[in-house]
Amino acid sequence: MVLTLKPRKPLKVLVEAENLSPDRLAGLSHGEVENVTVNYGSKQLKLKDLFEIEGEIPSDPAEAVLKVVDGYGKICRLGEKMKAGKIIVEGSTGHYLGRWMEGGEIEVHGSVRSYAGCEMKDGKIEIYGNAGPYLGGRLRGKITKPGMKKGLIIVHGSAGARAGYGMAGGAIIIEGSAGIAPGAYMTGGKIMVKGDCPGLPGAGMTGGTIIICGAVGSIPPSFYPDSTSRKAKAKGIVVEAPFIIYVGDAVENSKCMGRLYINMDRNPWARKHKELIG
Amino acid sequence: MELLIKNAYLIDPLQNIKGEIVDIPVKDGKIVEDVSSSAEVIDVGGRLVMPGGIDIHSHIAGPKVNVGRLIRPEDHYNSFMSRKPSRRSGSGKTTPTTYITGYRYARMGWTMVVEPATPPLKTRHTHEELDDVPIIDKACIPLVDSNWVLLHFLSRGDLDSAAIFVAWLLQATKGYGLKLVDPGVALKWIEGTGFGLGFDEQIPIFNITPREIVRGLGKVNEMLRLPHPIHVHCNRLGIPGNYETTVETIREAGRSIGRIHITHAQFNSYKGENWAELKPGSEEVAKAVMETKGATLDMGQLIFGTSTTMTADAPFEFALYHLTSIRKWAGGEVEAESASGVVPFKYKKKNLVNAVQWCIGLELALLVEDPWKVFLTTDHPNGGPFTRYPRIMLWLMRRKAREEILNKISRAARRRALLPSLEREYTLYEIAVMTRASPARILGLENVKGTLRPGADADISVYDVKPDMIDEIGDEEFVKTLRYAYLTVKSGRIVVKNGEVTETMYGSTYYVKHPKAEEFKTIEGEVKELFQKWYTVNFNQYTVHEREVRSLKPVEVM
Repeated sequence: MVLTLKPRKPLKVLVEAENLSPDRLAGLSHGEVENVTVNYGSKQLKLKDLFEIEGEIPSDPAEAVLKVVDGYGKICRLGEKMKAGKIIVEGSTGHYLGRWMEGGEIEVHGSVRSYAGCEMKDGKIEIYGNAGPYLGGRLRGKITKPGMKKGLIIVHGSAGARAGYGMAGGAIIIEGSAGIAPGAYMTGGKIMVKGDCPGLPGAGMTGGTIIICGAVGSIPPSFYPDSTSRKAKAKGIVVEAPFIIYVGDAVENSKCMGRLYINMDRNPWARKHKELIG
Repeated sequence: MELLIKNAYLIDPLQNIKGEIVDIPVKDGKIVEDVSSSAEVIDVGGRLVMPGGIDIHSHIAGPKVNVGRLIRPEDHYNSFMSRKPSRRSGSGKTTPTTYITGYRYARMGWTMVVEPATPPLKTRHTHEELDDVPIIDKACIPLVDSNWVLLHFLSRGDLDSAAIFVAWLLQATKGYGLKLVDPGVALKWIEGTGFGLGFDEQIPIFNITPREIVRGLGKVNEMLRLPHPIHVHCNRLGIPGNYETTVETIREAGRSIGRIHITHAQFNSYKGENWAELKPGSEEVAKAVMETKGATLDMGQLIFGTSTTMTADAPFEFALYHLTSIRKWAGGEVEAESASGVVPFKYKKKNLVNAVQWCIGLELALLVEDPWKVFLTTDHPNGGPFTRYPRIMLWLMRRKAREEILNKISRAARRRALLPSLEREYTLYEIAVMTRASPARILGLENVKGTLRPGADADISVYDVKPDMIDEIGDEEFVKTLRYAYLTVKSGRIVVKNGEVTETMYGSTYYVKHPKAEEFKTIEGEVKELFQKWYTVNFNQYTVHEREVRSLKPVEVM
């Protein structure tokens, strides 16, 4: 059984839909679902005023499936604090997708805006389009708090700047290219970028692994070449290429616990660093 | 508009009323003798009524507060007030936005706040922000201790020119008094040093010592008979063993000036060789303040939890940054005038240093026997947000509440502190003195503020408690009662009812207008030359004009 939400008219301003998660809606009758509140701009509306509601939702949260047709990229905070179930988004959606998510699955057949999987604790997010900045990151300013802790984010398109900002665990797989500084300030976990990166991967990282298979503009000067590898692995995906492994970031922590994999085939400048490895 | 507040249990120390049931007639924003029968009558049924509170030291506006807001987005994520028909929205706990600063003060029953440190060059910004703070009356005190032009006159020993310049500066920036932050430190900071600048150390460029700056500016302050004494943040703030400097500053003022206000004294009353041996030096500081006739202090009480430290003592902030784990620091520099720093900080109960600091603030308030000499502040947002004042009142008024916290803090701190042995409990009257009457007196506004005598401003706060019941209510209810006023009247208008803002209006900004400023022509040539040399700003653009500030109120010095 699938509960489908379709906007009645084109959404013009952002919708704050923190109540729309399958486990929170599970077990509600059709009438109760209609009366769930969402904020449309500055106005607080009932779900039925904004969406056409079809289907029903089962009482078991694990089986609950919520299908949202957005297409305008305006629905924010979908699946906030979600613990179980599944959300399918047809089209693009807004900011804070799956923020503080603790389990379940989200599938987006389109793009998302910033802070997808922000500070998520567990679960899986799969995005078939592109992702905005701060994918799986933490909020700005919370320097001592971790970003994503566990779980998996797969982006089939590209990601914006600072993917995995302050991330502490879990994995992010980006099939396309990443924006500037993926894995900035990360303390654990894994980021794999199959495409290119304009620069500064892992700036300020104190742990975790970043794998970049494509061309990299530059790496931070506080990284040291450590060793080489024939392949790199992340969540069962194996990429075979001559990788050089850097450790860092020495500015943040002299122990240099972070690992940065750079593909030497695509980055001829990295070959020079190979000679420095003793 | 007329208003009659009936059956008020009034505590008004400036009129020597220690609790009487009276009626308070209000007309056109002033307290009057009598009102006509058409007045709006509010029967408060014997509830506690005091004049509106006055906060003498709270960083609510200005460039460094804005920097604090910018570098701390996390402070604004979880603390906010939403929009209502009577008020605008805002966010922030330790660095609240301008609108909710005013609302929160009004909800607490406070009606006047002094922003105590604004570099003269950037005071235009401070006024812009103060203009946005609703309900409360405001004043700002410019920083003068590292002002190059002023030091130029002081190092020459030319107090007359310095006095003329100060009078002009107050009028030009629409300031209210003189603030000295770690005198001379901004000049030392140019060299990259200055952490722990001693009271008798030489300052580069002008070859003058902090002692001479305090003495010189103190004398200038008394020559001009400014309403507020010099507002001094002593040297060596936040360094163990600094109580000696504080005591020396007070004694120096007692000898050669007469009046001095030591601000956030808690941060300046540390004894011991290093942080591990930190002990309270509150006894010595309290003794010095009691023995010196014109000396006053404010607590600078610390609240456990997050805070944003911001001060014009830049080297100290830089040193503090290296102690914190939050890893954020912002430094600022104002040409030829001042420097500053902003660092977020977290005070922890189990931390020895923080726990001792917490004890020192309360000890100071309890050891200074005369409540007219000590004021309640947290040095917002350095020690904690101003919204925690009711909790400090609770600690001052109830020994049991203090002991509850003492049982939770670091044991070593408890052994070192005097606080467990102090039995004194403040009375409501003494609280009214330290939050209302005494600040009004030290600001020179005792005829219009901090009292409800006929002719004074109708700034009234009513709390939902009957004074004979105040000892019987629980701790949390006590805090809630004082945190959310039953009624706040500002300039004769009811702005808060049952702890909710019902009307937004704007207060005035007080500044000192001194006749000596007219003599500025005698030194104008020299000052303009110095401006040309030291400033990138045109002299003519320095002055904040009267049209730029919303409802200015001059305090004329005869």
